Amino acid sequence: MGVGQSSDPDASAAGRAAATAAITGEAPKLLVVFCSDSYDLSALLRGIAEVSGGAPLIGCSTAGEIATNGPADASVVVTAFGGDGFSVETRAAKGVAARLREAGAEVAGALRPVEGKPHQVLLLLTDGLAGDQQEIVRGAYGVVGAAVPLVGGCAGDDLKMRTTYQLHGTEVLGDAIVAAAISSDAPFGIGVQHGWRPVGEPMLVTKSGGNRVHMLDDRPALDVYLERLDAPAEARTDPAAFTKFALTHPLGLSRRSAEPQVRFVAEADFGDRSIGCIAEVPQGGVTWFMEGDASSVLAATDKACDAALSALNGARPLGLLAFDCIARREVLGEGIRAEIDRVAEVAGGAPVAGFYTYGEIARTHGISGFHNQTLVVLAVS
Amino acid sequence: MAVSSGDWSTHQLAEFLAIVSSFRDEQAALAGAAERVAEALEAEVGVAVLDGAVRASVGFSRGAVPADELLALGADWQQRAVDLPCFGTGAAAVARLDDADDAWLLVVRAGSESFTVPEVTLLRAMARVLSQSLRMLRVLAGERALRERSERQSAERAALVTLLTERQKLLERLGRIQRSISHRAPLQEVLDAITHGAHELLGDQVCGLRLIDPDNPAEYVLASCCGVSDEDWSAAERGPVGQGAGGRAIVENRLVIVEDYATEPNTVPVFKDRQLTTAMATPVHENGRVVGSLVVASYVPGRHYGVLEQEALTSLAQHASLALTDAKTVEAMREAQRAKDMFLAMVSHELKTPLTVIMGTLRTLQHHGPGLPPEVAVEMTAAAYARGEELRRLIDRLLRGARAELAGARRDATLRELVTHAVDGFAQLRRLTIDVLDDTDLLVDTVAFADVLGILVENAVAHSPVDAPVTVSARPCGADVRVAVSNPGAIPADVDPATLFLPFHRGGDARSSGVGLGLYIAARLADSMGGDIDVASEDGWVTFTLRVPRYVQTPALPPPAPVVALGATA
Repeated sequence: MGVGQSSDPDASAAGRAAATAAITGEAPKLLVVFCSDSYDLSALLRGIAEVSGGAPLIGCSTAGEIATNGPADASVVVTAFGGDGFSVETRAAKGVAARLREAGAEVAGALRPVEGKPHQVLLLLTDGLAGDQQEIVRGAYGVVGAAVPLVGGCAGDDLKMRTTYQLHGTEVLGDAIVAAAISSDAPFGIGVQHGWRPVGEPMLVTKSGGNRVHMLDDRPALDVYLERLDAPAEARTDPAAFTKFALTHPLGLSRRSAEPQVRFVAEADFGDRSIGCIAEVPQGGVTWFMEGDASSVLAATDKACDAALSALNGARPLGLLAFDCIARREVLGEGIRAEIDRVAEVAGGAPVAGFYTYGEIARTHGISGFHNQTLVVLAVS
Repeated sequence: MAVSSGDWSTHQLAEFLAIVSSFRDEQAALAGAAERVAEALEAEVGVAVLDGAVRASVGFSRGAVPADELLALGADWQQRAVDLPCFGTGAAAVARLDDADDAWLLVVRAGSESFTVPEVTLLRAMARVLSQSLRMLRVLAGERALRERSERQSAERAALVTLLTERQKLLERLGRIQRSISHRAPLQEVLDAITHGAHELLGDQVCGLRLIDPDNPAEYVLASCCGVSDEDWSAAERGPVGQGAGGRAIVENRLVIVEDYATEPNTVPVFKDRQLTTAMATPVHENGRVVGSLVVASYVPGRHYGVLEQEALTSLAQHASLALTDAKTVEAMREAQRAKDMFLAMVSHELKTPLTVIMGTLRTLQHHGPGLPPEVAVEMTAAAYARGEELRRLIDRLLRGARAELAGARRDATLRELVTHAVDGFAQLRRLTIDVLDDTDLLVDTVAFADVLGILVENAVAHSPVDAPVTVSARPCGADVRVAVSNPGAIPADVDPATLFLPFHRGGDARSSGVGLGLYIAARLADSMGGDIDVASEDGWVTFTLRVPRYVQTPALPPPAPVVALGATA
């Protein structure tokens, strides 16, 4: 597994450079591309294809890229999987927003049992703005079953919250899911942690529908949110300011495990006083405000990496893929550098790649696998 | 603050309650429940079983649901460790939906950790909630079906009421028309009632009844109409029979609908100018023949004639047919009555004439007998006697004519026998030549046969000179026999031979005091035997030929009513 990065402003040059750096050995089995949406994506893919010779490729736009040297913006990171130990098949599903579950099931069709490669994982990159991401995970789960873990993240667009892109082969897609079914003769490890904690009294979700929360404790949700969190003036009127504020103030849903499941608050509708998340907030349930700080976030990073590595049963990692929520980036601020360094340390010299996501996918137990404000680490051996 | 496990399961149940109320049908509820229980308990597998079958499940790849193993798990209410295909080992927990044994929720979680008491309690609570929800859905579905059925039924009832009301109106109108027909209201009145009835029932602007002109079958006459202005009426009063919708109905002898009058060929010009849009017409019959048509027409575009309206028009036309046939029958009856009256008047006159002479003569003899010279008395007596004979013959003829109404008894005979018997007695009067060329068998009314021959011979004798011969020749001819009676003489050229057979007709040179009924009765007798009499006049001979079928199969139909020729005088 190799990782290459380039910040060359010219798209195809950047692509070529990153791909060249990533492809170390023979012809790659799979390329995973994380890039900024500021690039001309078609040109970028062409540049990569020149070097890769048309190897299977999936990728997406981000809210920031991660590579072994550290985090960056306006760059492209290419990860290459090569060698006989891997067998890969990719798939893309389009027109996802209208049929989330079906699309999830469609891409999951890439997975097929492979002789001699019992360890399988389905890597998913989705359009985070397309709808309830939980449905996509459920759809995929319905096809692959409990035996295969799901891992991945939601594409970003540098916090603009307008359009994200998914890449498949030489195609640039939107409103899509791209997936790679990776079968390996060595185990994978997945670690999931968020590092947020509930604060204050819980509230009853008295009215919600789809991804939107309309009423909390019988009052308009937005008003309750702004009040309880003592939001700054700009956040009460400016959508962009609100989103920035909400990044570090997610909601938490009550779950069986001691920790509430985090729900990222994406935006607010100042007209009907509702707030929108990127997954379902069930009506009748209970929710908390969550808070986190640098130390809790970094502690979570350690835990996630440890969990991923221990799942390898002692095998040395070939590399780590990190799907890190942009919210955590906001909390860490300058500390993101330190975070990535810690990850690289844990990797013990193996390459690290990843991106800052709008949502993380990791299903290792249960039937749910969609997370917010979380770090998901995939260790490949 | 930490979330206690007690709080957690309450929250989950609250969420489940909210979700459950949004399910629209049974399958959605089962699928949703299977998913929710798995999620709530962080299990990999959730299964909903109803009526002993796996109805929904989550956690297995499509098509790889191990239904049998899952059903077996549910049968054992103790939760335990399991090993499932495509899954591996885990812990299972089961909760029944209600008291039945064939509905439950099942969850399986990977790993060795078994389900805790609060978790199982939550599962049971969710199962109960699902059970309630399913019951509610069933009731709602049943209510919806009932409501749909009752809505359908009321729509059907409303349609039925409308249909019956329409039918009622039609029947009332037809009843009125029938009454006027049976009360022998004047035909024009009945026809007008029909066109007005069509106008009222069908609502079209123009209604008309046209009849083929009996004097000119290529033309029609508008017998009755409604909704046509006077000036239009005078233009449309007459026209070629096949013109327009009414014309088509006559020609094709069926109900005709014209949907676009403007583009239809051969339409009535005045109506085309007035921009008539649609028309419907049906034929009218008299005694089974098409004699006209009943038409309704509209200026409203898009007028569609439905089945009920077609039936209404057909019924009205049938009533018109009835009225016309009835009127024709009444007319025929009146005509027959008039003919009978005239016949009786003439007969009584004929009977009275000789009787008057006889009575007069007898009175004279009675009062002035002794004073009269003997030769005068003898002459008078002879004259009276002759008149008496005349009277007897007339009565005899009349009786025979009456008898001709009834089919006479048919008997076997041979031609020779019949002819010989018939002319027996005439031989003294005249040189009679009888010639039976070929004998043959017959089955006829022998009395009628003899009567006819007798009349013909008597007629020949009466219309020829005293010393002139009369020939009777008879022979079979195919299925018939022909007997020809000839005498020297001629029928004047200006006399129509057919008139000879009319009652009270006498030939110009008749010598005898025949009453002019002979040939008439002979013709009727011949008719009653299924035959006829022909007359020919050529080369100085007059020949009457009787043709009779040798074997008459069916009884003869009563002859038609006598048509009295104008100008026939006693």
